[in-house]
Amino acid sequence: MKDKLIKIILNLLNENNLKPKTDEINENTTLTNDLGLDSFALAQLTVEIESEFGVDIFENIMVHNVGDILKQLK
Amino acid sequence: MIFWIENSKFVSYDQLLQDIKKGKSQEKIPGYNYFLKLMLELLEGYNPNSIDEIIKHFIANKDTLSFEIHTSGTTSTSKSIEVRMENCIRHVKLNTKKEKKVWGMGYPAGSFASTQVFFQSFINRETIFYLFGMNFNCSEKVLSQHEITNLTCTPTFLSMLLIHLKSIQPSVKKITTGGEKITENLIQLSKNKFINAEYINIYASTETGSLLYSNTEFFSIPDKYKHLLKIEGGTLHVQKSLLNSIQENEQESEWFNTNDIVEWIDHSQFRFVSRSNGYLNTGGYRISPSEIEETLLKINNIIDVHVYGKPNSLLGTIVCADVIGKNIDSKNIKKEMMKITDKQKIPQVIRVVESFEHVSNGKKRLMI
Repeated sequence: MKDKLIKIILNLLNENNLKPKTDEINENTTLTNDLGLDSFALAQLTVEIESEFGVDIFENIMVHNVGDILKQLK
Repeated sequence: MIFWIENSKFVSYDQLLQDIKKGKSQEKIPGYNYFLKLMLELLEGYNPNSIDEIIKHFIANKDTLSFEIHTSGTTSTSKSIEVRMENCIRHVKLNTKKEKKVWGMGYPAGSFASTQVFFQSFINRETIFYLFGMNFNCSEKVLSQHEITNLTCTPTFLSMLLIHLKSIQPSVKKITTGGEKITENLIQLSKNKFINAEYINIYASTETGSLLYSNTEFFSIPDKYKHLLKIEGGTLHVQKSLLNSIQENEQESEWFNTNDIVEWIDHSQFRFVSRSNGYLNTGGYRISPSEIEETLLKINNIIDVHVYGKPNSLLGTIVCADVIGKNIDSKNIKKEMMKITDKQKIPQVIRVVESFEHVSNGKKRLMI
């Protein structure tokens, strides 16, 4: 699950030409400060994750980092 | 004192008066420069000696003063609308208390909502921070250090702020959102950080200004508007006397159809669902799918496109595009779109497909 999620994130970063501030993506990586996602990129991420896992990550909580997403997917 | 933060620039009311007298600002401060220009437009031919004199002038002449706003920032097609001062300050409340409010504005300068917030703070000589476009970490510092009491923004801005906020913000007493529909979930989540804040949801549009207020996602028509608002054919209609635009007010029909579709919850309460005029509202921006389709078709190797909206918990609606073409991928399409259009007009999800889904009448299926 974690690998799939990271693949989705990397694809999204590549597609939007975003340069993350961190070399490694782990559970503590923040979506906005570390990955540089703005509201449009975050919205795209929700769609990609929902398409893969069937879960709307922003439906019930405010997601701050990769670990928050993984908790939502479990 | 008035504060604007854009690249750490601060402007006092005294400085504002000096700039009005000079007819320009010495520095380029995006949010501030817009409102200075607006003030100069309203004060054309009038030389004020004080800020109080300007405030009195605006209030005394609200029936005759008007200004133009360009809706290209928040709508898909650029147009100018003549806005009556009276309608802009219709809901401005005079703060007679000693305690002044400190405003945090999360609307883009130039939007109708931003002008309303600006005049609300200006008429009461209160402090306002221009948070729109500011780094959200910086916004958190402003909220804490300057003890913002009134936060006013779009639901998308509020969501993004909540994603960034690390600390509780007890100084905020009121959060006002508008421009997009809001979910009950976001209202509840905001209470975790803004523990002392009352929540106000506003229904407004460029054509009407603020009309309806609620503490939830549901609205009802107040008694004072019973003869001025009606729901007909599933959409909200407004009596023409409430329209902002002078041109719109010259229309023959007594009623203006907002095209905002409502869903009844019970005999008196309803909520806004979407628009029936073909526009998509994404993060507070009104987007025309047909305009995006035209832009996409300008890109080499794209043969046909289908742009549509999908519900999204963060932006309200996310813009999607199915594209037919040769030797193309979503990354390159986004890259090309960046060169020729605004960021909000670039579909967030682009799929390269072999054919479109069609409905029985042969038209492309439109998902909104």
